[in-house]
Amino acid sequence: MEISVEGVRTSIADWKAAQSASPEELPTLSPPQQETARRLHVSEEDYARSALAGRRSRQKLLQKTERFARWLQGLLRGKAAGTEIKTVVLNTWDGKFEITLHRDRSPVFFRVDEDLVDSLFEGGLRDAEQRLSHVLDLVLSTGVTA
Amino acid sequence: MTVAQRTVAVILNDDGRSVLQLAECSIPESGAVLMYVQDVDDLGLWVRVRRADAEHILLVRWEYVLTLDFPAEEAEAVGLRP
Repeated sequence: MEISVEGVRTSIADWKAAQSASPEELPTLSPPQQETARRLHVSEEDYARSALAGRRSRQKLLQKTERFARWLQGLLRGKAAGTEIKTVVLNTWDGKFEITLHRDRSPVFFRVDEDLVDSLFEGGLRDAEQRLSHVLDLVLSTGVTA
Repeated sequence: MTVAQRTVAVILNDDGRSVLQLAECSIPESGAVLMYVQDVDDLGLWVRVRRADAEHILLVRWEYVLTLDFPAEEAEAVGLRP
């Protein structure tokens, strides 16, 4: 199973933390990043703070994606033994998790709102769990393919 | 697609640059202004600016924005055991 995050999104908390980070904490910009900062007429320090904030948030988003993937895996075991999760991608542009399953040697693709997953983990809402379970039932019965 | 919660390089027109200067924001003499966009709506970009007392939210109206630039393709993949 592979998980990933597409796009750079930064939480306010991580942005604020990066703004107050000491110069020693800032990442060293790669030559292409230095070139981009130069072309945009943006200071390297500001660009590095932006990169630091993005890096911190990305780790958290990856952790959320992994947590959701593991939760989904557990749900799947109870519903469709033998079906595997191939990929779970958090697409930050659309605010959706994009999931590809492998079932009967065929890929099955579906998407889930990130807000719904946040409700599940942050609120532990029974409703969110039921809705996600319902989505998976629909996917398994209709076989939306990639 | 949303640009909320992203740091973006904003290229402003001359009016936009004047408005930001009126709002006592320090901006470079030329080129882009790097901004953290907290939210976006029909009015424009709601960005965070640091003031002496606290962080403030500032509206940059769409009519002042010539273009936005931010990295698109950065992605990180991790393999997990089933």
